[in-house]
Amino acid sequence: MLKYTLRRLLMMIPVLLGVTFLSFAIAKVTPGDPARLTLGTKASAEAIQQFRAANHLDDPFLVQYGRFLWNALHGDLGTSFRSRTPVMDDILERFPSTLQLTLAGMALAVGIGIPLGIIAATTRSKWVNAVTMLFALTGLSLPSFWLGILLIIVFGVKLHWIPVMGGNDPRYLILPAFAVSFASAGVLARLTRSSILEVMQDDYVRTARAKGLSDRFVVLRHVLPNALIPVITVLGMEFAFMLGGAVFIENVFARSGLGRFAVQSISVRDFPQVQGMVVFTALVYALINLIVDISYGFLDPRIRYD
Amino acid sequence: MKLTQAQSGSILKPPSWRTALHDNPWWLAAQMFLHSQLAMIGFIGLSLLILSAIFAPLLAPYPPTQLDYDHPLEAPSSAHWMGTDDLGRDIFSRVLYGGRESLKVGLIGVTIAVIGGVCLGMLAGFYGGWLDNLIMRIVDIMLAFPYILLLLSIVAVLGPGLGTVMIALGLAGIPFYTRLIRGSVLAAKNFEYVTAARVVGVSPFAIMFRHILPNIIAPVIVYATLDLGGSIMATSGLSYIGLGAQPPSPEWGAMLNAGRKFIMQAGWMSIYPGLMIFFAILFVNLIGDGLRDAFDPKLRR
Repeated sequence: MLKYTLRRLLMMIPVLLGVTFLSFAIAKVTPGDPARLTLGTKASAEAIQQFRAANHLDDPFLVQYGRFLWNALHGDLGTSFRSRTPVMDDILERFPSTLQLTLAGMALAVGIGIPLGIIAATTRSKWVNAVTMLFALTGLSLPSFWLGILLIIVFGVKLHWIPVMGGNDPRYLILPAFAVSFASAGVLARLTRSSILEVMQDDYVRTARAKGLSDRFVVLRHVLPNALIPVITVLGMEFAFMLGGAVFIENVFARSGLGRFAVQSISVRDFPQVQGMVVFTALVYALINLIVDISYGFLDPRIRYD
Repeated sequence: MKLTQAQSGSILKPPSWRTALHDNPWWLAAQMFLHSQLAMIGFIGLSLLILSAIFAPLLAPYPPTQLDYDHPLEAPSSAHWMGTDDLGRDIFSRVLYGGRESLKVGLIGVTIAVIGGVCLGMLAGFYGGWLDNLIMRIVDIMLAFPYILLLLSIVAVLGPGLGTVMIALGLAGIPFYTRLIRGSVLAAKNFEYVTAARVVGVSPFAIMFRHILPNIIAPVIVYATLDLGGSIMATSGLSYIGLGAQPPSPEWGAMLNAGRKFIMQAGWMSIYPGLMIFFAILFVNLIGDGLRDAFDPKLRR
């Protein structure tokens, strides 16, 4: 298991190198001189020269990339053009809010999606099945940001049951988390249902039933552990999807997280911030994939021996 | 491989056109698709949306950008079916025109992605070697990028706007199609019909696009249809956060953006454009599900 984990860790290196290289190259080919953007249009030619020299902007491309990588490894993602604050600080300041939103969204998606899928697969009730499939289809077709807007209209304007935006206590997390998780809950419900239905046809399930075990026991002990393996993989994908969805939801609910930060830095074309965001998020994604793969190895020992 | 069976059968006894038709996988898929109620709902619904966008100038009661300062933020009424916005513009008219933008951008974005992905995947799978390595390593890196962040980075480079969104959707989608096509080509290029074509001296280009492509395109069509829903969502989403269509464009997401400030007093500004986005994506997804069932031989019969 340790060997497998190490191998997976090593596999992350080329991916991260590629991502940092690509994002660095994108920032470099973008029109606009960083010195001008930082110092403003009124800066003198000497000031510009000085800035370029101080920031090694005239070095060859690969040297600059090497320096960027070296600094990134030491937790330095550069300095913003506009605010002149370290990008890493800006990101770390906002990440907890986004992580909170995503984790709450995950909890909702898992809490709604998986039980619904289990019920749909085990009761064989036409009605429950129809609701599940309709839920999945709606989830995939409903833009999360519009769902967020609807929730604000319903709860903020009409009902006033749940606070909509502004505060910091957990109650303010309910609506954004619901909006960000709705699509994933649908996906998980549909996947859990079809996965269970597939596993139910396996021989060992028939054997378990033939032994006279109760339906509940068969489902909980024999079917679920096997049926949930594909669900775990998708869980990682959905987590990543929700992190991305934060870009929209944080704008709807005016939460100051990474997603809103990304949109703001793109609107003002603050490239060190955009680049830092890309590298940071790619690292988070790579870690999520790593965790999924490793937990997969734990759940299904066959995978380790590939 | 229904097609090769039909062909080998035809050597033994010439089939009537009717049996030939019934062995054609495309014919079977079309039958299956036409008999699915949900797929038909999606097909008719999307057709209506597209038609209403095309004939918006005839259907819309007002010009989409006509200002009317005497009637701002009016609730839906018989004069303004979906109400008016803060500048007194008729929301129903704008929603009709908006379909032109949202549907067009999504469609062109997916088309760019499919064409790019088919070409790259075909080259990688067919020729293999260093070309395959090069293309697939770039694809791997692009797939390691979070999809939304890839979209945002491209928009960041090219600057906000609907044209940018189109290109961003296209570029960000290419790696998915490249991988899909490459896998199918790797499997297909060893089949007898490819060998036969090679033996009689068909050019590599013709083998790729005239012989292999028609045999592997079905999953691409299914994927592209489901992808179209996602592209429409991304287009309106990017417009909603201000990185896509810019005012006074009636693009649905941009209309939602305009409605943000008035969400408390004029909810209709936010409800109707979003409803259109929802229905457009829903119809596309219904069609996509129908196509998937139609093309998937496991589900057939």
